[in-house]
Amino acid sequence: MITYLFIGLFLLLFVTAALAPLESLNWWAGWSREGEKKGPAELTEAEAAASDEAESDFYVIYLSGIGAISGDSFPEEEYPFLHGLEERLTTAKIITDVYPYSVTNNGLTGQRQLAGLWRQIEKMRFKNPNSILSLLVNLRNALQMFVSADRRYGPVYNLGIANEIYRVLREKGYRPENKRPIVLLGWSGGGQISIGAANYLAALPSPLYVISLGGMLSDDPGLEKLTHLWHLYGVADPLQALGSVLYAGRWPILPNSPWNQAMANGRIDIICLGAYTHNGKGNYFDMETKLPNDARGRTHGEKTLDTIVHILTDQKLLRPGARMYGAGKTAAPSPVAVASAAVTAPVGAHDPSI
Amino acid sequence: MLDLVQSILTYFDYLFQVIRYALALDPRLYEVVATNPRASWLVLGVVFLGGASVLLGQSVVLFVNRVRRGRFILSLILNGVMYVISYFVWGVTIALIGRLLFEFDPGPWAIVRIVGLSTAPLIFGFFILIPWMGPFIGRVLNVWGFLILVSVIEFGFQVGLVGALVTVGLGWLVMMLLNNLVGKPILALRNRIWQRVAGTTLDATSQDLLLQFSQSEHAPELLRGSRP
Repeated sequence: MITYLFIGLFLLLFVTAALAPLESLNWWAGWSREGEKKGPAELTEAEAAASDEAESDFYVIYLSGIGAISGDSFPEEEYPFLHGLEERLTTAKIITDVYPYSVTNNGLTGQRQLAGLWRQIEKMRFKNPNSILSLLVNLRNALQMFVSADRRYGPVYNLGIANEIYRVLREKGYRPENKRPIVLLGWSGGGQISIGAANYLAALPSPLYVISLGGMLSDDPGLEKLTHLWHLYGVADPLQALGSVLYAGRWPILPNSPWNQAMANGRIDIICLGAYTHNGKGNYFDMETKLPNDARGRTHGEKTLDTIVHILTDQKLLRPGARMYGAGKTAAPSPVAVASAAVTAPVGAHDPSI
Repeated sequence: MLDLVQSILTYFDYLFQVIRYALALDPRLYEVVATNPRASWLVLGVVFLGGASVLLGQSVVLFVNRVRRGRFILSLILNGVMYVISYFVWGVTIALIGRLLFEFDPGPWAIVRIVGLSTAPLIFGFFILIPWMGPFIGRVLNVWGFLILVSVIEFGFQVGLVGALVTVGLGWLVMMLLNNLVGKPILALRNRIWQRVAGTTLDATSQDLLLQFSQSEHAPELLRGSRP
């Protein structure tokens, strides 16, 4: 009996996985009504030009991890992080309402057949963030991440996401002719989808940067086109490490793969944050657990934020001395130290200022 | 009416038995096919299930080429016909090689049936759609089918493992040779048929989409206006 149950579950999982690419394929083939768009209305060129939104110095598009339910429903731990990001990047426009697990930006609780189920799970997760059923969201979105990384489906899927990113950018006042930099900040599965969407977004005249937070990255062709990628990881995070195992293009035996070429050309920096985990205590967003031996007494989440600020300062997107944790407090390093580190030090694992 | 239901149930019972034997590389497979009066129908059932599943698994090309919904089923059927023809040619090739090298007794039709049985693993062909691991699954299914073919020929025609490997291996080589020698005109014919049935030659791949995009001077406009 248990054997049959096991076989049944296994088959169900396989069938679900096989059906995963159909949403994006249907959209591409023009079969899906979702192709007509169900998110916010499409901006026309004239509307965008007349937008009241002023151009920002640069744009940060946050693509959440596989726990996201829609463009405005993330796991709770991400909100303080996003708030911290807004506090620090005052000259940037931070965009969080792109749902990276749907080519039409249609969140799970949007107009879908199973929307009712996802709404129930969302409610349940609100009460208990560790609810077992919320794993269904992770499973569903993880499959979409694999769709993005698959060479058969990726070009279609990533075009859909790039379209949505571009549409939201226009909505927020982005004008291609001003060439303001675009930063894709992808957490976990969002990291892979960022490098996938980079394939298309790189066609815009702006510099295109990707920051991956524990992303499970493949050897996506998008790596050949983006301006620079920083991959932030923790040594206690085995999920981000899976990328280098699952995708042959990341193995050293294939030196001509997009990943290895980008590494050889110095367009990828791998930055170790410490003993960060992927989920639970000590993860990238944890604003409570203090780092061991940190001179500034920061939490995991604060160091993640500081590292992002440091990267952006290094790229001259932020002015040296931009707010980092402890600025104005007694434990803060002197502005001169921050400024000189930002100008001279390469961003990397051995940079003590991070 | 009851008789009809009874015979349908019996048919499916045999069909699943044959599929089980085939998947397990069980030598009794040849016995069932040799003695069962419905052998041809059973083989047809295996080929149909395997074909339908694998065609769905490989239907990405239809989506990428934006075949219209109405033409999708038609395209799948046409693909199925091509699939059956290629297995028929594969069976005849093996029969000829077997006759030349080992003086096989059974006629080409018997061999074609056996080759049909080797498609049993393709009932899992639908899983080729699975992202990331799908192509690997496809390869595993092909190797599985190859092993079934070798085992059936080994036990069915008593030629030993080496004899079966030589027959199937040579058959595969001949098929590759045929593909290269007469492949182009057949491909042109196929494309012409596709054009009529699917409304496209189905030669666009997802990689072409990237290429088309990167070569376009109007990429930002294409992004804005949805699909290139």
